[in-house]
Amino acid sequence: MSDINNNLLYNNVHFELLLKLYQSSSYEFSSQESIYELFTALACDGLNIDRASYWRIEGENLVCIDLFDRTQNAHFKNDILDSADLPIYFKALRDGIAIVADHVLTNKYTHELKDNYLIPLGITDMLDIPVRENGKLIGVFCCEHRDNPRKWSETDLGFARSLCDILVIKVHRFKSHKLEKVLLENERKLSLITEHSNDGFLVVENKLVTYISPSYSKLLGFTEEEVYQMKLEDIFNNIHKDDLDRVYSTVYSSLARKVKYFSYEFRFKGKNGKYHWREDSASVVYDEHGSYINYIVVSRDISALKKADEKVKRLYSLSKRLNEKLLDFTHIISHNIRSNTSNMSMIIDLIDDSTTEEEKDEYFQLLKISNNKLSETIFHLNETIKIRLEKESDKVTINVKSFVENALISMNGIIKKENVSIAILISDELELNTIPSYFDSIILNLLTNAIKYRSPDRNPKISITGEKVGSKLILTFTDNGLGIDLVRYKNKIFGMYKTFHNNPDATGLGLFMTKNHVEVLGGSISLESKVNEGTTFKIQL
Amino acid sequence: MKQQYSTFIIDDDPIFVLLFKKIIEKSNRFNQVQNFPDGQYAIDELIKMVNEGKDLPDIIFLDLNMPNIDGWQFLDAIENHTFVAKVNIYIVSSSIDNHEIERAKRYTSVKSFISKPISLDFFEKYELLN
Repeated sequence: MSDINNNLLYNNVHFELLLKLYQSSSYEFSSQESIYELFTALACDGLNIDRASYWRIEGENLVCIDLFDRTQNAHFKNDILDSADLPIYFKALRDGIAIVADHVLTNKYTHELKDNYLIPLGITDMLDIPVRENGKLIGVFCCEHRDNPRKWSETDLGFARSLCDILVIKVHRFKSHKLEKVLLENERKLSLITEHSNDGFLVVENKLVTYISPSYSKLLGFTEEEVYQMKLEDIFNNIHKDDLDRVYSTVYSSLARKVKYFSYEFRFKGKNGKYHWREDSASVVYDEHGSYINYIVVSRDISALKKADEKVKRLYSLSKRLNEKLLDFTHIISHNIRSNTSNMSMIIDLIDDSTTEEEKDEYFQLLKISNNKLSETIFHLNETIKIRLEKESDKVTINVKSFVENALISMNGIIKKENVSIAILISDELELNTIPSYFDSIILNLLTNAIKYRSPDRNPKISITGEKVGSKLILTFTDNGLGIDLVRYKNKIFGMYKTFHNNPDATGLGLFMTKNHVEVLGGSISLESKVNEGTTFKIQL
Repeated sequence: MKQQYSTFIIDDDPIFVLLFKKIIEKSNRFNQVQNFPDGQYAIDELIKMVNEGKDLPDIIFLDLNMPNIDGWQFLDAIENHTFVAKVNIYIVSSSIDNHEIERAKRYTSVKSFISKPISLDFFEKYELLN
């Protein structure tokens, strides 16, 4: 064999070991530790030595990451050497490519180690390779021979150097592989959250949607591609018009004030065209000029919450209404029943006290009148109690115009007698889902009022209009009668037993009942009026 | 003959007014009784009497529940007039509502709250004319 073969080429053992290392996958290692263990063992085999170790520089110390002792067939760790004790050795590591010491005790680079390390361990020869990463010294790979002196060959040096190079690569790959696994796992977790959560996540950068979570596009019914094409304006366009101004001003005033976190509720139109309630919590990052860089939205479907909320509100207003009704009953009992019974008891006292038959008879007539009034009051009371809670099953769909026309027929007598002209301005096809008896009573009450409180100076004129505004029917009844002084009576108009014209026929129940009926049908009633000009009642159903 | 008094009855219930007048008559203590169906008429009359320098009624019997200007509005309306100090108002109402009774106490012009019905010995019972 030539010198080249002997000294400059890897021998077969080296070659096969290195080849195996090159081909091994970094995925095989379960831990970083196992990489070092493999390399220290390989060094012992390849160089036919007793000990091989890897030491890492940690601050001022050299820490033994792994040491393989072939005679004991065991790995050792955590031995520490202080770099301050070994200045020459360290300088050599920093400056050189290897410390090749055939006689460790006399070698100028290794003799610092002799008392504490070399002599106690019986080391005779050392081959120490500095390990660098990105040009920076990070550790040293030590190959140590014991007992009978040997001479390190070029091949040994080459093999050891190659081992160190591969070691650095393997450790680096292992670390990045581990990082990759962490990243993948994080991404998997994030996508689990964003795909299966009820919340949607959206990132807007520079007025463009740059990220939308699958959960969000699923919730909205748009595909991810469709959402990525959306601009901020497109998102605003899908917000319910009744909520838009509020959302718009919340968002833009918050952005103007550089608010980092804010939230708002609104109805949003999904791709199916249906609105649902959402709550957006925005988290905004601003640049140094105050313009926003990132606008991150967590959007939640709060329809169920809103529905529950509305139910609570409905129940609240229902119980409020019932409570008001209870107060009204107390009022009837207190004023109207008691006023009659107290009159009757006074009459009885007076009958007792009277001396003549004429006087007695006079009181008896009064007693009869009082008795009739009491019966009447009780009848009204019963009428009021009859108003039950709304039952959907009682509702039917009616044609508004023909219903109003039919209602007028029952009033024909008084209409003719008082020369009332009535104009019905309702389109033929207008329909309403309602409880007919209540709707009938509303119409009759308002018309009766309009005629009863006519002006003595002119023939009564009444116009009735009806139109659909959104999902609501707006009905108006306008007359040219006496009018009501709204400044004076504004809180009393719809109250029970409130009358405004000193009219002996007035029961004070008409408008009270009308309001009750309208409310039972889920609507509202309001009025405009001018004294001596007339009154317009507006009903929304 | 004992001293004679004048009175206003402000009440919209004609039967009660009739009966009350009978009781007043039987007491023989009043020489002047005027009645008004709501507060506004009574206010107008009071102002007129003040302007003409006439004597105001000794006692005003006031109902609460009336059309137009009710008893409360009447009390509020006269509150700002100087003559309020000179009138003695008795609320005579069918109400037995404690809230209303308490509310009435807030008016200095209101001497007492009397719940209907009123009995024949009404004036003795309430010592109204002493």
